[in-house]
Order: sequence, then structure tokens, then C-alpha cells
Amino acid sequence: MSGRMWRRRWLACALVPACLSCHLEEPFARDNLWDLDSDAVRTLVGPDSTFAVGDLIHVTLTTDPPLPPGAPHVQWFANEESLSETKVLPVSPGVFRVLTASAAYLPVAVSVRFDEAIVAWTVWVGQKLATFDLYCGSVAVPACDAAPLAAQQLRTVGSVMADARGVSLAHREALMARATVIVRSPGIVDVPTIANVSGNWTVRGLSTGASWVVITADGVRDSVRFVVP
Amino acid sequence: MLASASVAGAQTPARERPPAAPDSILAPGPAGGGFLEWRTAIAARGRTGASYLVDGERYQILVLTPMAVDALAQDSLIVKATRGCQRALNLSDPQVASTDTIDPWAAFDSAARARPLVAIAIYPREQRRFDCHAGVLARFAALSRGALYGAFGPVRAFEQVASAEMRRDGLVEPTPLTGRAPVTKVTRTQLVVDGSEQVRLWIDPLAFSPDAEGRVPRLEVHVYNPVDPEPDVLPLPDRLIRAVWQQMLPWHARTLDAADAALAIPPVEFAAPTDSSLRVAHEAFTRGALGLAASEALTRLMFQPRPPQREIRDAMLASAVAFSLRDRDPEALSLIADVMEVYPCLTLAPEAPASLRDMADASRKPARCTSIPLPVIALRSVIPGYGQATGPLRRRLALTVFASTALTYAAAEGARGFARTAYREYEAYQGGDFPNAVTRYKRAQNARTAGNALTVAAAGLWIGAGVEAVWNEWQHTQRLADVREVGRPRARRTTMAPAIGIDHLGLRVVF
Repeated sequence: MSGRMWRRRWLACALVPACLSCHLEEPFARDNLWDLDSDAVRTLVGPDSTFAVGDLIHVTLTTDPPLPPGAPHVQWFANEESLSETKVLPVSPGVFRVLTASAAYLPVAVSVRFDEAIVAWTVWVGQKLATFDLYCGSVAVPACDAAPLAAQQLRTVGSVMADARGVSLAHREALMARATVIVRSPGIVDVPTIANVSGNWTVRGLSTGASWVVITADGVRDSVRFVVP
Repeated sequence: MLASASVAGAQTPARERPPAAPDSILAPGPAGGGFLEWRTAIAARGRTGASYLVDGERYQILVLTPMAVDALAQDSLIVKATRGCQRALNLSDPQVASTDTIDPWAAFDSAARARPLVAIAIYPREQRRFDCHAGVLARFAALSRGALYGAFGPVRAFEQVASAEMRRDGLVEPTPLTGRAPVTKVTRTQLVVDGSEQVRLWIDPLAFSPDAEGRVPRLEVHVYNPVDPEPDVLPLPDRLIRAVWQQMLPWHARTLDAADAALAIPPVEFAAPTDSSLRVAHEAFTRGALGLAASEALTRLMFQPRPPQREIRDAMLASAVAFSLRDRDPEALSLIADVMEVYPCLTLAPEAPASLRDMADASRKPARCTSIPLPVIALRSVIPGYGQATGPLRRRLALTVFASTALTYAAAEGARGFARTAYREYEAYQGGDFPNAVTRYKRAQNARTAGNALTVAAAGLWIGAGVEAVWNEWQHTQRLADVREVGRPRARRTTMAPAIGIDHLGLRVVF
């Protein structure tokens, strides 16, 4: 091999690797799910609300890049309101159970945590009225017109309230606040009630006659009849 | 027989104590006619002539050319030096002013004034010198009069100067004049004259001349103290010897016309300089007044401001031609050697004296006197540093460029490799560990940024080295063209260049 040829080959051998590897490194993609500042997609989707104690909340986590199967450090949790009677706890990945709730709906964030990165979905948790019974006296003898109501006399109308799972409603004043009370014969009785925790309505006799009092809440209705002699 | 006589003669005068006053006034001598007038004219023109200090273990030597003696002769200089030390040494104003009376060499300088001689002054060293003088010139002026500044202990005989001699290549140089004088010790609150002495030797400048091959001679000053039989030997540095010889060259040139007043038209020609004094010298050279030309040119080079480098070179070459044409080869050789040190690729025109061309060839240092085509340099620069590897003088630079580029590139690769590893760790991270994902990403990103910056730096080095190599080679080519056949008579110079026009194509020849 001539000297010139040798030099050329040597030159090529020195240059080609150098040129091939002489480049600027592109910026690294930031897509780790556990990186707080990453551009990875993390979304949580679930129901808007629950209506009974014991309901399960199923949420779906969508990520891009996909979550590695069996990723160990993914924590599911819901916010804890210490002053609230509403409690939601995770039971399995993507599933939460309503432990306690009340007739007053509260927003609860069900979340999944990737180290410092937290993805949340807000669910309104409460008790929706499913069973509603009005009574005077006792539940066993509910008729209110069995005993006449004198004019200007007050009578308490009690109620049985339960959600779809049969759990008695807590914080009934919230339900009373959203309930509709209709007096069929407005001149006979009226219902001067203040919302209360017990869920009791107060009826007052006005003038002689008989009238139905109809109370509707969360789409459930019940009525009682009063007679004013 | 001759050798033994020299040795015997070397020892005898060294043991004699130099006189305290000159015996007689030195005559100019056969080669010194007109020196006094020339020296006076030089002194009137301005302050020039450097003096040189050599520090030994026990002694210090000041070498003074006649021009340096004149430059340091002003009384104000020693007063200035003392005033600079006034505060450090707690001296009073009258003490400072009184130093202008210290001039122990006045009689000797007067006796030696008409003859071209170099003075070698030997002093005992200060035990603790105070560098408080107001400038080097003032310090040397004070030292030339034997004023030493500092703290001094008791006078010890083995540190005193009893006598001295100078030897050239081992042989004692004759001293037309020697003398001794007291040393004045300027110390804290007082000026002391305690019996310490200084000695001066006046030496013919030819002692500093290079040998027949242009080599600097070996000069030593042997200093004897009053008690030891063996002298302290203080060699003079080569640069000092050469500088002293160069300072005396204008005078030597002056003697060229005295020896032979006939005009001799030189066979070589140099470009007319822009410097007015050098132009006078150039005109004298052109009309054949060689001594005047060389003397004017070399005298001009003694003064500031310095003329352009090219004009200095031409002036020195013209002076060398003048010396050579008058058969003064030692002087011509020293000038040629100095020129060749700066221009190792210089070639003289064929019309120049053959002896001069031989001198140039003999003084030529190893250097690359060929040029490489710029495209080749550019191609070579593709390998970092290879463009610089054009000659022995740039080998270190070439290696430095190659090593620094390679190291920077390797560091860049290392940083990028680390960045990729760190990024893989980031990608594999699945929480619950330390450091967290943010830190891992930052680490990878920082390493990537560093790697990229180093890559840019390596590329910058690479490209910069290539540009430098091309630029340097272009300059080298220009310099080579500038020093090729220097002195060629202009009338015979022929230039050729391609002539390309709209309606013609040819070669333009200019005579």
C-alpha cells in the first residue's frame, strides 16, 4: 500500500467515527409518570356522585406512557375531612367505598399518587332519599287524622328516611331544606317548619276542615291528612 | 612556550593591587581616532547604551560601555536613587543631596574617555540590599559610582575586592586601564566609607567579538579577595556579551571609512526605509559610503523608537554587507547571526558577497523554509492539530491542539454517556426511591448540557485550530516571500503574473 493511500485510510478511520459521533444530544423526553414536572398524561375518570352509604366508586386511570403492570408505588387515596361525616376509603386500585355520608352532599377527591404527582377525580358523595315515610305519633300508627288538630294547635310529623341501601339518612336538615311541602287546602293547616336534624315537620291547624300535606324530597313523596274540627 | 607565558602573565597582574588614580591619560590608539568626537555626538543625541549587572555569590559586576558611562554620568541620577531610599534608610535631605559628590571614577573616566573601552566594575555584594531606588537607571548610576544601599555587617576580608582580571576563552585579556576606588555604603541614617573598595577594568571591546564561526566567546571575570589565593569566577552571560558587542558596532562601523575612504558601490540593494535616519544611511549605502551608512544605521538602532522590523532587518543586512566588503568579517558575522536568529529562512541575493551568503548559511537555525499549499493545510486540519504540525517549532502547539481537542471531545462523550445512563435510570424509575424522578431528570439533563457544551467547545477548538493553521501558513508564506533573495537589485527583478481580461488572456512580465 502506498504512503498516500495509507494516509488517506488513516484519515478516514480517524474522521468517520469522530464525525458520526460528533453531534449534540437532543433534549430528553420528560415522560416519567412519577415525575411531578413531566409531560406524561395522567387522567382519572369516574362517576360524578354517589347516593348511598356503601356505594362503590369505580375510577379509571388513563396514562401515557402506559402504567407498567404491577407498578409498586402507586397509591390510591381519598381526602379525609376530619370534621365531616363523609368518609370514602380505597378498597382496591381504582375502587373506593363510601363509608359514611349524609344527606348533605360533599365533594370528595379520590386520587392516585405517583410520588409527588397526584391525579384526582372529584365525586359528590351523599345520601339520596329512597325510603320516605311520614307519621304522627308512632311509626306503627302513622295516621295523623286519627286525632283532630285544633285551630292554632301544633303537631309534629315524624319521618322515616333511608337511602337506597336502607341506611338512615344523617343530617336530615339538608334533605328538609331541599324538600317541597305542599298543603292541599292552604286555609285549613300550614307547615311552619324549621329544618332540623330529626327530620320532623310541624303542622298547625288554622280553620275547620281537612287537608292533605304532601312532602316531596329527592323524587320520593309521602303525605299525611289532618282534620281541624 | 607561549601558553606558559600566558599563564604566568595571568597570575602576576591579578595579585597586584590596582592604582587608586590613573597613571596617565589613555591615547585614542590606532583604531580609536575620532572616538571622542563620535562619543560626544552620541551623548548629545540622547541617552543610550545599556549597562548590565551580573550578580555573583560575593560580588556583583557592572558592565558599562562608553555610551552607558555617559548615560549614567549625571549627578542627578545618584541623588534620585538616594532620594528613593531616603525613607527606607531614614536619611536627611542634606545626606541625600551630598551623594552628588560621590564620583570616585571621575579621573579614570576622564583618562579613558578618548579610547573605545568597555568598563568592568566589580563590587562587593550588599549583605541585605534595599531595592528602594527610583528606577533601574538611577540604581545603576548609583552603583556605577560605588554607592551600595542596604544593611551592612562588619567588613570581612574574604568578601572584599582586591583585584580582578577578565579572561576570554581562558586567556587573560589585557587591561589598558585598571583602578580601585572606595565604596560608599548608604545605610540606615548614614553614609559610610569603611574601607571597602571597588575595582574597575577597562577592556578593549574586541574582547567581546565573536569568534571566526560567529560563536560568542566565553568571558569570565576572576575576582580576587585579599586573603584567598583562588579567585571567584564570574562568567558573563552570552546575551550580555552579544549586547555589549552590538553596542560597540556603530563605532566599529565608523572606522570602515577611515581605513579606506574610497567609495564602493555595493552589489546589493535594499528598499528605501521610511525612518529618516535610516533613509540617510540608505542613501549613503547606495552611493558607496559604507562606513557612514553602517554607522548611521547601527547608531539609529540604538535609539528609541524602534523602526519597523523590516527596516531594522535591512539596516542590519546593509551594515553586514558594508563590513563584509571592507573585510571585517567578525562584525559582519555577528550582524548576520543576529538577523538569521529572527529570520532563519532568509536568503541573500546572488549578488551579495559570497562570504556573506556563507555566513548566512552557517548561522541558519533549523527551520522550515518551505510553504505548504493552503488547501493541503485545510485538509490536514481536518485532524485536529495536524494543520499545526508543519515544523519543529509548532510541534508542541500541534500536540496541544490535538490533545486538548481530543480531551474535550472525550470529556463531551463521557458527559453524554453519563447523561444517557442517568436518563435510563430516570425512565426506569417507578417511585418510592431516592433520588426522586425530578432529581434524576435534572441530573441527566445537566450532564447532557455539559456534554453538548463540551462538544461545541471541541468543535470550536477544531475549527479554530484549522483557521489558525491556514492563517499561520499564509503568514509563513508571506514571510518566506519577504526574505527570499533579500538585497537583489531592483532593476534585475522580474515579476510575472497572469493577465486575464475580457478580450485577452496572457502573462504579464514586469522587469
